Amino acid sequence: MRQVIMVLLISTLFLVYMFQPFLNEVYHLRNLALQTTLDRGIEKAAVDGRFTEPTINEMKTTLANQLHFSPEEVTFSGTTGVTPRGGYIEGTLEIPAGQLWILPSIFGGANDIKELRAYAKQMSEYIAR
Amino acid sequence: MRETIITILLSIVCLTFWIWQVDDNVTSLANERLKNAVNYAAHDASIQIDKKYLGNGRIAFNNAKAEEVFRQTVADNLFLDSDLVPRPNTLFKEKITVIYTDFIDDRDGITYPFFYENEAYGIHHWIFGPAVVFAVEVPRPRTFNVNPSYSLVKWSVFEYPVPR
Repeated sequence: MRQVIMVLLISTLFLVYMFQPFLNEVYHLRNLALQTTLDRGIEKAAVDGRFTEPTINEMKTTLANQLHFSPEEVTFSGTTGVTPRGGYIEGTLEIPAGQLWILPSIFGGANDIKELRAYAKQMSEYIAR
Repeated sequence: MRETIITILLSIVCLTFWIWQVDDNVTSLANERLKNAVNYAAHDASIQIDKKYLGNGRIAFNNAKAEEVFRQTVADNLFLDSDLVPRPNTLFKEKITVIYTDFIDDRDGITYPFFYENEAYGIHHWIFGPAVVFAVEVPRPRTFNVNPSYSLVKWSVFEYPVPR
């Protein structure tokens, strides 16, 4: 009986120790990819005075291709109306967070963050002609 | 007894690495967000020009307005209050300090390209027109108290964006 308990305990810990770091790393890299993609998007938006359809689609396609989501799973909200030079443009990009814990039932998976979100705000440099 | 000791030792080793990894990830994310925020803020500050010089074809920054806009944009991007203190439940835990500000414009009488250097903050940057320079410092957010404590310093040099 003692042996069985030890095997159960050790195998559970072994599972966590073996696979949890990979899930943490994937979670982190998704977060970084999201930040970088929005950063590139808002640079273009500052020049155009708004997040144009091609810029939004490019951000969605980049994330969908790189992280193997469908473009519908990537959501964007932000400034799509033309903003004159000196006005603020903002954008929020969201993707599904995926699984963070290898044993969610033990580590409170129900309270996990469901979406990863990046936010950026910058002034427009667009001048209407 | 043997199994218990092995389990405890294994746990100590694995948890040490895990704590290091989570801390490293948080620092990396903080670096990314801080650098982006400083870039956006320097961009916004570089738009704040003094219009009375513009009439003579010269670019000169409105320094006070640029500094105000810089702080506003950093605060908005990193979820800080007006004193640059982080709001609860956000990535950063301590106050962000603007440690260096400089403006290079047509009042300085320099010719471009100009190699801008500041040894104190490790800034070495070619500029091709009027530019603003900002540096900020913040203690890095630590996941666990056992992790080492140090500050993140980010700078940005941003040229006045000529209307296209």
